[in-house]
Amino acid sequence: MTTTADVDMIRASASQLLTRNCDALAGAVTAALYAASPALLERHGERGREKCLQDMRHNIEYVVAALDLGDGAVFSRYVEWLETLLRVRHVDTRDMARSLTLLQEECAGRFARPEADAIGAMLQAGLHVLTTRTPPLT
Amino acid sequence: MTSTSSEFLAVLRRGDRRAAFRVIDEALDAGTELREIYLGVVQPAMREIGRLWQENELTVAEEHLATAIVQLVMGRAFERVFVWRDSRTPVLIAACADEERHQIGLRMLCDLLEMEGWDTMYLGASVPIESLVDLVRKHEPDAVAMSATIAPHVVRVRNAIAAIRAADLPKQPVVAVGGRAFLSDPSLATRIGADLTAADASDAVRLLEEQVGRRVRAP
Repeated sequence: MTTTADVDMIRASASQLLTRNCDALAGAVTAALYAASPALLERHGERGREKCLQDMRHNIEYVVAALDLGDGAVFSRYVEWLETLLRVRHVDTRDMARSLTLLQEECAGRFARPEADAIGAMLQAGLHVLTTRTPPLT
Repeated sequence: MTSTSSEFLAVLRRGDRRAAFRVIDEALDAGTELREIYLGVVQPAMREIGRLWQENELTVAEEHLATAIVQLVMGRAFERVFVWRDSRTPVLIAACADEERHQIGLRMLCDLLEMEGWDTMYLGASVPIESLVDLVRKHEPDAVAMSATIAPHVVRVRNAIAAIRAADLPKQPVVAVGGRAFLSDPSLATRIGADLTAADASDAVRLLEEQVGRRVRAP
């Protein structure tokens, strides 16, 4: 049986892992995003890639905050806010959904199951916002 | 939004400091109270400025210009109406912890508390947590107020509260928190160890008077 204290400990250790691996994870997700759609580089250029890396770090910071506060709604509110921000700046919000899914995959590949699941739960809360707001992935 | 607030927003969008002074001067001349200037004119205009930035209608530079003008306007309006009193209690320290920079709400709170006879120490943006705790230790305030706009900064506020609670103080201050992060979920406040949160500076003044002012002034 998993107790509340266990859940808190797993979240705390997941938060530490994310913080420690923030740059590596942001880099890996950015590389995977650009490898999967070369159109991104055409559309936004090198500067876009830099900004993307920054955005990926921000995403991770908010997952960390959601884990620290033990509250998936913290991350989904961020995603709602960011979705509006990106949409009015003509950034395809489906790229954002892809980036969150990629982050989840990266974490699953690097971290132990309990921590990866704790992170995944926060990311899913955010993805849920996007699937209800934007057209499905093609 | 009132017509004065819309007019104020328009001059902020233009970045016109002189026109901003004129709008506020005229409102004060017409007998508008400082509380109403802050909460009825400045706050709705600044919330709209934030929304316009999010909607890509304003650049970061324009948003900062609006903020800078608002700070000048507040200093001017406060000096025009404030009458120094003998009272210097209770004492409140207000700060944006760590990387938080949205300081106008805290400044409103401090000014309105000063009007009620409080002595406030307004530290503004980006105060390192250790340094904040040192100041709390030095002045032993009755209350501490902090704000957070985004979730990562809520975590910093939580850390600051934990550090204050862990400090060996003769009396623990009442901790008030506010800002957009707490507007979207007020229950966050108690979860991070704060004593109270409020929807705006006026509400915070009311709660702090109830929970601190009356007790401190009691004979």
